[in-house]
Amino acid sequence: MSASEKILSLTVNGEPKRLLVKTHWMLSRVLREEIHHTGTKEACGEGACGACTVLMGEKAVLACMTLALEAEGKSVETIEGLMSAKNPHPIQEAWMEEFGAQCGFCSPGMIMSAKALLLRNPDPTLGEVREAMAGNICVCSNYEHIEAAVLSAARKMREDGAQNG
Amino acid sequence: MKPFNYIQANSLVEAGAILAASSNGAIHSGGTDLMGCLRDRIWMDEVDVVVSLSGIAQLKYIRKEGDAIKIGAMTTLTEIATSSLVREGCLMLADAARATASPQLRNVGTLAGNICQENRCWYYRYSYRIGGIIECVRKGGKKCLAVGGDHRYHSIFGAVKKCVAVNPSDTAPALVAAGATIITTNREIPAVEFFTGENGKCSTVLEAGEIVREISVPFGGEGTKSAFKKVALRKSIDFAIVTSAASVLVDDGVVARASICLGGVAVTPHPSSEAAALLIGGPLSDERIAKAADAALAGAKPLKGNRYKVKMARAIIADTLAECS
Amino acid sequence: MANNFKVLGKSVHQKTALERVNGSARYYSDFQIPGTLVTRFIRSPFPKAKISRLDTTAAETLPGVELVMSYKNFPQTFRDTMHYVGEQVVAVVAVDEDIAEEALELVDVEYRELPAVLSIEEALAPDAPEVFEGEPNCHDWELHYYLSEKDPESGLWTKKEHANFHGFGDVEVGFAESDVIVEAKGLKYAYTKSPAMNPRGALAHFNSGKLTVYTHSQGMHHEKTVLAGVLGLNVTDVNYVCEYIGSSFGGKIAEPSDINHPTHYLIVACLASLELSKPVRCVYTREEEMLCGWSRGSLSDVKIGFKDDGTLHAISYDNWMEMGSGGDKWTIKNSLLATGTTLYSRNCKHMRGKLRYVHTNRFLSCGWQGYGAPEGHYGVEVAMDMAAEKLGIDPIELRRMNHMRGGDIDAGYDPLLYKSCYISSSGISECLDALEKRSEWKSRWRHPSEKSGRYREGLGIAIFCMGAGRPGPGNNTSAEVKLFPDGTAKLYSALAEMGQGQHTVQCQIVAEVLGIPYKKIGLVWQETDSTPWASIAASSIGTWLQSWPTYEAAHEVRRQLLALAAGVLGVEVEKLDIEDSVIFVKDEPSRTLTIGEAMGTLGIYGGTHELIGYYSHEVPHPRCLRDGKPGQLYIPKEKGAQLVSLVVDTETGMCHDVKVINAQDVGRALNPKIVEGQFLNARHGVENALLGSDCIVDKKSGRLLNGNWIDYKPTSFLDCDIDPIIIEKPGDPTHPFGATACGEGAACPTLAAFSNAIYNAIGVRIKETPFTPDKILAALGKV
Repeated sequence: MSASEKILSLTVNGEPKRLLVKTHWMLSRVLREEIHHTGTKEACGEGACGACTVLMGEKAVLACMTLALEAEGKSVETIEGLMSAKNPHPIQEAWMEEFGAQCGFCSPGMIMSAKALLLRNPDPTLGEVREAMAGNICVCSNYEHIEAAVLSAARKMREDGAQNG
Repeated sequence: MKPFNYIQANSLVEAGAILAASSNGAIHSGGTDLMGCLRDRIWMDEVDVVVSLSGIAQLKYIRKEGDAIKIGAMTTLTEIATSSLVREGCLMLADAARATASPQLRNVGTLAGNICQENRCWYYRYSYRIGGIIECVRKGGKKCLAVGGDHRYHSIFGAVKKCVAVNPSDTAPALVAAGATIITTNREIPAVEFFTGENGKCSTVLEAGEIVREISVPFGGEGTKSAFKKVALRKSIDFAIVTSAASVLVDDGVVARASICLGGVAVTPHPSSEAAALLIGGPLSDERIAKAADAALAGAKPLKGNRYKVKMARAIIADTLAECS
Repeated sequence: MANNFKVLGKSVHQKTALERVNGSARYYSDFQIPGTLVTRFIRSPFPKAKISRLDTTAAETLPGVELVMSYKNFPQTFRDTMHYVGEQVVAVVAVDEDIAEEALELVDVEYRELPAVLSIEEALAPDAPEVFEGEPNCHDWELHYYLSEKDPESGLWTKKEHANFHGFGDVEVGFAESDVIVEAKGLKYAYTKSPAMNPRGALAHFNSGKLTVYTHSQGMHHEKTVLAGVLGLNVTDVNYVCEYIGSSFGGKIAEPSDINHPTHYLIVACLASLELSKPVRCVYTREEEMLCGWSRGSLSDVKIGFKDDGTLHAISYDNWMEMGSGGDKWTIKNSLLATGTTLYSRNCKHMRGKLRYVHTNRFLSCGWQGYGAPEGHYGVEVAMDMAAEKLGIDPIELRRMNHMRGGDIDAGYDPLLYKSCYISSSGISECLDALEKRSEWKSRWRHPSEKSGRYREGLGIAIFCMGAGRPGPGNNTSAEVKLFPDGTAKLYSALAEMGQGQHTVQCQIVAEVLGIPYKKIGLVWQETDSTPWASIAASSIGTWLQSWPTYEAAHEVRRQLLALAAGVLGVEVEKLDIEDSVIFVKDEPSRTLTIGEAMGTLGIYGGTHELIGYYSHEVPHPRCLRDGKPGQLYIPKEKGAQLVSLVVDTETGMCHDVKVINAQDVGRALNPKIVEGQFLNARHGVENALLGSDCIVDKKSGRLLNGNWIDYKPTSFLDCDIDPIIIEKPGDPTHPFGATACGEGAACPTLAAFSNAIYNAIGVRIKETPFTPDKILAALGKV
C-alpha cells in the first residue's frame, strides 16, 4: 500500500464494507466502481447538479465532491438502500404516482435529497421543499411534478408513521 | 485529479505540523472548494498532502460567550444558517450562509472554508482538460486576461497585483460588516484585514501552516438589525454578481452605529465606512440611505464590461439598509 | 372504440417507473465489464491550428497504456488541423484514469496557430479567415425552393423550382400592397447548449468478432447501421444497447460517418475496442460535454407587411445560423416554420425566406429541441409584437387573426419530398383563449408607457408551431406485438425513450387495442438485436410516427385472436369484442372466452403459443391523406401559445416572479401527466432568456469560459413557475386516436415571449439573448 492508497471502512446501506481505495478517489467512484451501486449518478463533477446525492448519516451530501476517505467510519445510504426487498419506499411510490422521473437520471439524487428533508421535516411547505431540493438539477425541468411527489411522500410517511406509531 | 497523500488530523497542532512538513499541503475543511481546485488543477504547484480536519469534533460549535457568538472552524453553513443564536445575534450572517451554494454543499461546507475559498474567475479556474490551463496573471502570465477579455463578473474596484477576480464568498461581507474576528492557530485577525486578494492559494493573510480555528462574531444587541442580499443569475447553486451586508443600530429613531460591506464587487470584501458614517446621527430614511448607497459606490472604477454592477450594487445596498429599518 | 377509452387518456404509471426511481435503470455509464479500459483526450488549445510536431512515443511506452490514437494512426477520426478549441488531438486508452492522465503529459505536441473567426459577425466580415480552407464561411441553404401554380381545387402548390430563397409570391409586391410594415433587424439568438443530464459517451466491447456498444441514442438502429459501415463490420455483428438515455433534447444523435459531427466518443471507443479486442469506455466529463454537446445560435432579420386591419400580407425572413466548425446544416430549415410558410400561412400571400449557415472556429452546432424553430420564432414573434403596437391591435388578437388553422397550406415543410401539404390541426386560438383567461390578460395588460416606478410588470405572448416528423422513405418505423395465452402481451419497439414518455404511451395503445389491462403489457426496447427498426426519435415524432405501427401491429394480433375465438365460439368475427381480457359476443355478453381459451393452450403439442403482429410504417399512413388522395397529405404540427409574466427591477436589471404559462393543443392527451411533463420543458427557454445561457468565448483565445454547470446554469427549483395547460381539440386525422405531437415545442416560443414581456415592462427592446441584467440596465439607459 503506497501513500496514495488507504483502507476505507464504512457502512453502505447497512452493510459494512472494507476496501482499499486511492486517496484521491471520490465517494461516488467507490460506490459506483468498487461497490457497484450505480444508482448514484455523476453528471457535473463539480457539485452543481446533485445527481450524486447520498445520505451520510442523515445529511444529504454530494458523493462526487466527497473524498471517499471522508466517509471513514460513516454510514452511507444510497438509492439502492431505499427499497426493501419488494416494496418501494413511500418516496419512490410518490415519485411513480406523480411522474417525478422523466429521463430518470436525476431521480436517485433527488429522492435522496427528499429523504434527507423528510427526515428532519416530516411536514414541509412547498417553499421548504423547493429550498431543500434546490441543490438538485433536473434538466427535463420536471420540477412541478417533483414538488408534488415530495409533498405526497411526506403525507404518505406521516400516515404510515401514524399507523405504525 | 492527481494522487496525493491524505491524513486526517486529530488536532490543529498536528494539522499545522503536517502542513509545515509538506511541500504544498492543503487543508480540507468541508472540501467543497478544494475538490474543485484539485480536479481542475488550477494550482501551478501540485498538492502533495491533503490534511483533513473532519475528525476534529471539538471544532464544531456555535456558542455565546459574553457579547460574542463563537463559531468553530468546522461548523457547517447549514448549522449557521439554521442556528437560532446566529439568527438572533447576526441575521445577515445566517442569511449569507443560507444563500451560499446549495443544501448539500452547505451541509459539508464550513464557515472557515467559505472565507478561505479560491476565486471563481473563469480564466483562473479554466479546466486543464480543454486545451490546457490559461496562463493568467496568477499563473505566471504577464497580464490579467479578464481586464482585456470578458470581465462581466469581475471587480469594479480595481485590481490587486493586476488581478481583478472578485472574492466570491457570500459570508465574507457579512463577517466584515459584523466586525467579526478570525481566530487562527497563531493569532486573531479582524475580518476586514483577513482578505488580501493576493496571498497564496486562498487570497487571505494566512501564512504557511496557519489554520483558522474559530470565528468570533459580535452579538448584535437590542436595536441592532442586520440584513444580507445576494444577486445571482440563478437562485440556487450560484455565485453572486453582487452581495451586500449591513448592520444598523437605531437608538431612539437615530442611527447610532452602522456598517456596510459589499461582496462580489472587489478583490476583497468591500466595506464602506464613509457610507456608514453618513447614516449616523439621523433617521434611517430613504434619502439618507440613498446618499449612503451613492457613497458606497463613489470610488468604483468599473471596467468597460461591468459598469452595470455599479448600478446593481448601489441598488441592493440601499435595499439591504432599508431592510435594517 | 370511439371515446370509451379504458387506458388512453389516463395517467397510468410510466413503464419502467420503478427502475427509474430505485437506481436499477442502467444508463450507458452504468454498464460495467471487468477489464474495461478508459479514454482521455488531449484537446486543441487553439481555435485554429496545424499540428507541427507530434511525438507519442513516451506515452505509448508508459506501462498501462494500451493505445495512443492520433491523426497518424486513426485519420478517420483525428486530424492534423484543429478547427476549434477542444477538438481532439490525441486520445490515450489505458487501464485506469491516472495512467491515462499521466500519459497525456508525456505526449509531445506543438502547433502552428492560424487565424480564426469566433462569431457570425467575424465569419461574415470581408477577408475573414476561412474555417475550412478553400471553402467560404457563409453558405446559402442549398434547398431553397420557389413554389408556384396553386391548384384551385386542392389549394396545394403544384410547381417547385430551385431558387435562391424559399417562398412564394413576390415580397416586393407584397410590401408595396401593405399598409403597415414592421422590420426587426439584428435579432441575435445566443449560442446555447443542448442540455443533457448524463454527459455523452460509450462503452464498446469487441469480442469474438462481435461488437456490442453501450451508449445513448435517439435512433439506435440508424446509428448501428452507419457505424457498422464505418467500421467495416456486418450489421449483424454489431449490437447497440441503449436502455436509458439520461435526457437528450435532440442532442444525442450520432453520425459516425461524419468527422465534423460531434460523435467522436462513439468512434473512439469502437475503434479502440476493435484494435485491442478489449472493452473500452469513452465518457465525456461535463466540460467535454459542454464543448461537444450540440449548440445553436443565429442572427435574423424579419420584415412583415400588414393590411390596416391587421391582416398579415407578406413576410421576408433572413437567417444566418452559426454552425461552428461542422455540425448539422439541416437545422436551419426549421426556422421557416414560424414564417408565412406555416405558422402564418393563413393570410401570407408573399413569402421570401433566405437561409444561410455560417462556419466559425467554435465547437459544433446541431439542431436540438426545436431544431432551428426556436430561432425562427424568436425573430418572427418579436416582429409580430412590434407590429401589434404599430397597428394598435392587442398582441393576442393580432395572432388570433393570422395564425394557421387546420387545413391551411404548409409550404415550408420538407420541400425535398412534397411541394406543399395540409396542416392537420391547429388549436392555437383555443390556446390563446386559455392564456388570455388564465393570465387575466384583459385586466392586467397595459402599454409600457403606462408603467413607472422601480418594479414594472411585463406580460408577453408568443405562439408557435413545430414540425413533427418527416413523412417519407427512409423515415419508416416499425413495431411488433406478441400476445401470449396468459393474456399478457409484449411490445417490441426500438423507439427511444428519453423521458418523453413514449414507452408508456405506446404500451397504452397496445392495451387499448387489445382490450387488456395496461399492466399486462411488457416492453422490449433495450437493444437493436431484439427489436425491429425504429425511426430516430427526433422532431417529437413518437406520438405520430410510432403510434401507427404500434396500433396496426396490435390490431393484427387482435384480428388473429378474434379469428381464433370466432372459431371456438362459432360466431362471426365482427360479433366479437374484447374488454378486460375477456372476449365476448357483443349481442350475448354472457358468451365469453378467455384469451387462453381462444388460443387453445394445449401444451407443446397443440394450441397457439403466441400471436404475432408486425407493422412497418412506410409513411404516410393512408389515414394521413386527404380523401385518400396520394400527394394530398396532412402533416401534424406541435402547436400552441405561451405567455410569460415577470417583474423587472429597473434598479438591478433582474427579473422576478417569473411565470410561464404554456398552452398546447395536443388533440388528445394520451397520458395527461406525461403531456404536462413535456410542457414543463418551457424552462429551457427560461434559462436561455434569463439565466445567461450563452457559450461565452474569450475573444482572443477562443476558449469557452463558461463550459461547466456553475458558469452555465440549468434552471433550479427556485427560478420560475411553469403552468401547463393542456388543450384537447378532437379531429386531427394523422393519428389513430387524434393525438398530435408534444415535446420540444414548449422551447420554441419562449425567448420571443420573454423579449415581449420585458418590452412590455420597460418599453425597450433588447435584441440579443440572453436578457441578463447588464443588458436590461443598458437598455434602460442606466449604464
